Amino acid sequence: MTPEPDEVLRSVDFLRADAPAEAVMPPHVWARLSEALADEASTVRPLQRRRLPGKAIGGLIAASVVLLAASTAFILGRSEPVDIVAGSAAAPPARQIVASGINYTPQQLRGQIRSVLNSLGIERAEQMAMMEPANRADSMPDISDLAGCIRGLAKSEGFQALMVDRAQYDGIDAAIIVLGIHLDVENQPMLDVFVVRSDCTEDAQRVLTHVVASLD
Amino acid sequence: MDDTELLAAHVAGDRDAFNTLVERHRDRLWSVALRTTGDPEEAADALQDALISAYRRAGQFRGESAVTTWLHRIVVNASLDRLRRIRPTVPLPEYDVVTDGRDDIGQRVTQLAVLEALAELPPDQRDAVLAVDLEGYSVEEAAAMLNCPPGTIKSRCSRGRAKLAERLASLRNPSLADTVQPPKGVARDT
Repeated sequence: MTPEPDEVLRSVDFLRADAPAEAVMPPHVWARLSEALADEASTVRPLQRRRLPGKAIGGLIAASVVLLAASTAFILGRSEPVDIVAGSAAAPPARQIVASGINYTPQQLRGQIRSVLNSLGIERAEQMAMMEPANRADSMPDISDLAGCIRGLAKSEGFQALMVDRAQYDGIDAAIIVLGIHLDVENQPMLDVFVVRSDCTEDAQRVLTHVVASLD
Repeated sequence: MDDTELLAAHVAGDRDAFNTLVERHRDRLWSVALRTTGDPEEAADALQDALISAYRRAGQFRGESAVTTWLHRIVVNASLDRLRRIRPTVPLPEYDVVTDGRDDIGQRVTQLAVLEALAELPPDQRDAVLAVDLEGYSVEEAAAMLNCPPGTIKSRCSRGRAKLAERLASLRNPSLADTVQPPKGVARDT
């Protein structure tokens, strides 16, 4: 015998729009959602895949060109590369590589990213497009295993992220990847940050969260 | 301001209106996401997906249903989509997250089976089945809410019911039911 849909659906009557609330949203979840909506409000303008205005990228590109001999710079509008200069095959997959050991949390993620960048002498997002590349000292954390992950996130061969921090996220071994920069609705540079599990690969990126963060 | 006015204000550019609207209904939205996904982290992710989607699609709200119904439907769809995506890898939770004192393991297995069957339906069929068969709206009311002709609702319901019936046949067939394993996401009693 085949069950009638309205009969079996009664077992999931909590899906009804008028179903009573049976749980109270935890404060940390509300804080996270509020933050996500605030981010959306700051980046939404005509929403997707904006190209950076020529005037805005002019200064950044001009500054970046100075560094071309030693490094590469990337400015991203979400997943769409804008004015990309390809990295060399020998370049590490990120310009700055740290292993802060921080346990990043959903509630404090943006502040923690700011702290790490501040510790590198970076106070404003646009500085990241102009900063010196990582010094390949032997003591520098090896992130060669994340090269495919970064390539997959950027959807671009030879892509160099702005910064990678080998750390933890909510107690899970993770990498915090500042992939690039894009401009928000008020043309303020914003960091495009992915938090991935440490076993992120090009085909299975295992993104734990993705945020857009200001350094201001 | 009532919900409709808040949504209109959001569409008009009021930066606080959407947040106010969501805060007003957050516990109901959280409840449905939590019970659907069975996991607080997944529920939070689903809710975030849903609210961002609603934020962007607010201009498409046509006022044929209550704002809460519209918002609720987006959360249900996001939660079911999340359930479908995570199902192959989601581990069994180490704690009960879907207990309300009435549930036993059998009920939860049934719930998960129904949720998974719903998750597999194409979204348009899922919306039609939920509106008509679960919510009890007439075909005409569902057509107005979902912005399509009544005939389309009928055909979507028909196809959706057929798929649900096929997927859920084991719930009524003892010989098959004996072989049904608790879907992943169901807390086991040990």
